[in-house]
Amino acid sequence: MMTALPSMTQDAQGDLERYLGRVKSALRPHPSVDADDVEREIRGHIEAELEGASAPVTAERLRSVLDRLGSPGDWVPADELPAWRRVLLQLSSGQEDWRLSYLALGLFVGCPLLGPVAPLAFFASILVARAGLALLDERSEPAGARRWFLYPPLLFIYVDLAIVAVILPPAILLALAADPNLPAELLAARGFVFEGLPDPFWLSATLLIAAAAGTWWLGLGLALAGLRRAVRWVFWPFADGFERRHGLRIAVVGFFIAALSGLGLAVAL
Amino acid sequence: MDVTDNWTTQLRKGVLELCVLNVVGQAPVYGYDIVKRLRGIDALVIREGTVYPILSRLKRDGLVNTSLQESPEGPARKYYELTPRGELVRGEMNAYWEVLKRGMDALKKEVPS
Repeated sequence: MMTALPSMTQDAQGDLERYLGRVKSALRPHPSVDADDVEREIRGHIEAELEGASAPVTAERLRSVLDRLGSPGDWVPADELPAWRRVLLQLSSGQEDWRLSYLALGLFVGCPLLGPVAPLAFFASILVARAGLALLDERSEPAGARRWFLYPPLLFIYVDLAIVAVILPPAILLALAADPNLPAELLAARGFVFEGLPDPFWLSATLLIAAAAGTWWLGLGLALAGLRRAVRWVFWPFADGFERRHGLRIAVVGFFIAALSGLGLAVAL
Repeated sequence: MDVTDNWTTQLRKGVLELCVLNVVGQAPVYGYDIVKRLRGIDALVIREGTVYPILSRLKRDGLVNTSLQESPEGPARKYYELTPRGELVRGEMNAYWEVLKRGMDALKKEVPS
């Protein structure tokens, strides 16, 4: 039997459901803990805490209760945590602990010196940085100056990923158009893409590249709008505010660029 | 300051379980009531969510039993009470605490020769 919680605003209700969902998913690998029992306990606690609070309970009021309850991961018995989490917790125990931050930056800065294991060290620096931020997030602890240690490996890879996703395809076309002295196989590709374009070549090639870039951004924007959760996860914690509308804006910009340059190309042809 | 912070954090973690056993040992009590009682001890500075997993572990270890009881103030509440084994463990832990406390008090009072 579940307890009767006071009425809440839609935001507060959403926050509560998310919290309970995260608790349940944290407990899923631990059959020794009855997740329904824990949920009952949490709801009972919240109900008691909010007794007498003016209804509907706001998200802010609920958050103060949830913050004091601790992070969803805290409901997993410490002795049942996976080995890697126990190691991370040991590495980062204490409010003022900087060890994960040092490790993340150390791996990132040191990876060029590590020769063949450099990619592995770089990958490890990303994992450690994300784990460090996740632990701070779980403890509701601000990253503070630790962000200077945890952000660099993440920003490095995120910026690269963003550049690849946004400009790589049009950049390849641009490189093909700009250099007539390419190796034979690339020259064939150049001929295939740009063959039959009217003079002046620079204008029609520019319009073609712009049309291709616009089409790419249109597709990319639509994909990002549909995959916003994946975007937030990949670029966490910098893309928490990424919404469908942001993807759609990219798509709209892409559409106009593709339409205008396509029109220009049609006129030129 | 950092040294003191780390020390108090570890100490709190260590005594929290005994505090929970002592609250439950006095009379059957429900989870939120335990949290309220512990919240009253300033030096504990507990995060409330830490109490419930401790209760869950004590139950798993056979130190407490739970029962759902109807409440006049609303829905049924889950009450905790000590099992005979829980009473025994609580007694042992309190005895150890007393010995430790006496030893530490004696150290504080000792006059260097």
